[in-house]
Amino acid sequence: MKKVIEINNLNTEFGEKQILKDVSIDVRENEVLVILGGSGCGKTTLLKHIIGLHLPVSGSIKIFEQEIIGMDEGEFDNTLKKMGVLFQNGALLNSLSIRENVAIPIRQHTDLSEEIVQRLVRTKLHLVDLDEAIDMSPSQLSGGMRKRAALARAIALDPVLLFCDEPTAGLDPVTSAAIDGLIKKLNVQLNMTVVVITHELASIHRIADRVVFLDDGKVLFFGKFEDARNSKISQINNFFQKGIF
Amino acid sequence: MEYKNKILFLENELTKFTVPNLQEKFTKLKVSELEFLDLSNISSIDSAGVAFLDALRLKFEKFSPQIVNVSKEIEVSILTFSSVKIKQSELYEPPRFLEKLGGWLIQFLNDFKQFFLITADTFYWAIVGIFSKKGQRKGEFISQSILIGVNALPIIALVSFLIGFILALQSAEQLRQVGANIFVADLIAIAMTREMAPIMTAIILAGRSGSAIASEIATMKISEEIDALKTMALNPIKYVVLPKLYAITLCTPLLNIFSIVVGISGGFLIGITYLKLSPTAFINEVANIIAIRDIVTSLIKSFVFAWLILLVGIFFGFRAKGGAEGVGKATTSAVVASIFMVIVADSILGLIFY
Repeated sequence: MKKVIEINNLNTEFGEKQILKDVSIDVRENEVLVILGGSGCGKTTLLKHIIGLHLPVSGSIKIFEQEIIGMDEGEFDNTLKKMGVLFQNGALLNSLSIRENVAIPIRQHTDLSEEIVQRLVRTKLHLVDLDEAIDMSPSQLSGGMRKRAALARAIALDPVLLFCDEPTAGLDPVTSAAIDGLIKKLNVQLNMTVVVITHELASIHRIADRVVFLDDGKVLFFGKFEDARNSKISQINNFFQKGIF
Repeated sequence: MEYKNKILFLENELTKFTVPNLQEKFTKLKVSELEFLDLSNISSIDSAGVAFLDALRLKFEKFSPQIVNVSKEIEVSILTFSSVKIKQSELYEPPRFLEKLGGWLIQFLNDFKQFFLITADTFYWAIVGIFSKKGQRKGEFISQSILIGVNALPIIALVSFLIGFILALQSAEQLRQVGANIFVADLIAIAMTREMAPIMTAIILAGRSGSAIASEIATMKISEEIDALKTMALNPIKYVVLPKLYAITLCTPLLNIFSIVVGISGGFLIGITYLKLSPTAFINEVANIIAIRDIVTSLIKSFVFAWLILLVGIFFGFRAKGGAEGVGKATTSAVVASIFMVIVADSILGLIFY
């Protein structure tokens, strides 16, 4: 199977503290890869390396078979245009309405006519079930709605590769299930490759094909989700047992 | 793209990159009737492509165009992204001029009411707070006095000195022509005491402390700290505002006096160097011309300005809403409004004490 992302021997440190130690993983085409692990284990840092926000100390990251470390900015922009990122707190632009937020990437990166742009915005908001909120401003929305609006913006340009940083954290179970359902739908029906950071067990059950388990910056487990559940490693066992009561 | 017998044939890619081109081509075809959209040669489609098809379907609604010869894969995309069935929300229409005017007026009256209420509240607690220390943070008065008063000393000294210096320099040339050199002392003393010192102090305080007060309270409001205080049975005005009120009430007159002294010494420098006056003559002239009345006027002005800055600051702070951008807006509005109100109040007081 084709590898969309290939990460080899990635190391990062913030000051004295080493955040990621020798991380080597890959993401295959058309799978949902879930990055797991306790708080502060380096999940978000790993994601920030992949989307080019942080430079690692050493190692290599290949996206669509191109090395992104040291790539010049214009070239990397082209890679970015094929990716969508959903940030932890949504990261919507507060000064713009939801409609304008979703329209940003469409307007900036395509020459589509206004009619098509509006249609696209409405379609994407309909997919995340936010039809009514279209003319509200981000500060008027609840946390869950903001996350869904941010997801609509992340998929505005039909990315090949979607990153979600805790898409369901802090949401009610019904909304969580809906977002997971949408991620799975994008993955299965539209062949999107999805990388999700989460520690919601229910979400992992619903969407994961393969999982990476990070512990203190090291990859403790990398493989099929079913194998992770039956793993004998105590931390992983703990992680899956604690959530079931 | 080909058009034959009310059928539109589309081929290759139907994506966000090809749609703008296709739309252009379609307009050139000048199609008037459309019953079928043939997608047999489409290799890939994305949401923009689907939106294009939807737009076509809606444009030729009366012929109810059918999508035909579509592969399974493409059909899934069309079903997922189709916007035909989504209820079209009405386009947002910006309010007309009169509507806006009415909105502003209502907003203004409402704001005025709120400002009045918060002023009344603050003065009530200011008097009650003198007698009951309960519900006030200990040591806050001192630290606020340092923030508002002591830390403002250098900048007020610099600005006042320069103002006195420039005033003296500008008038010296004119006075010398009529041989009235000594009157530069009168001019500086009266101008600094009655006008320049209170207003310069107030403007610097509005920029330094008014903005700090507004942004602090706005941040507390937005992060629900004000609500948290209320649920702990603490009055936010008593807990947050009172120390600032006492501090600004004590510090502003002191800064004002300081500013007068430094401003006159700026004029003194010009007097003894450029106009070659004797230091004693200059000091005597200043002491003779300044009446108690001038100093009292100056102090009244500085009290009024201090309270205006504080009240405007807390008013905009408590009014803040939304996210982090609300704090920025509150701070900007507070600084602009307090400088404006200080100048208006200065004119009114100037008329009264003329």
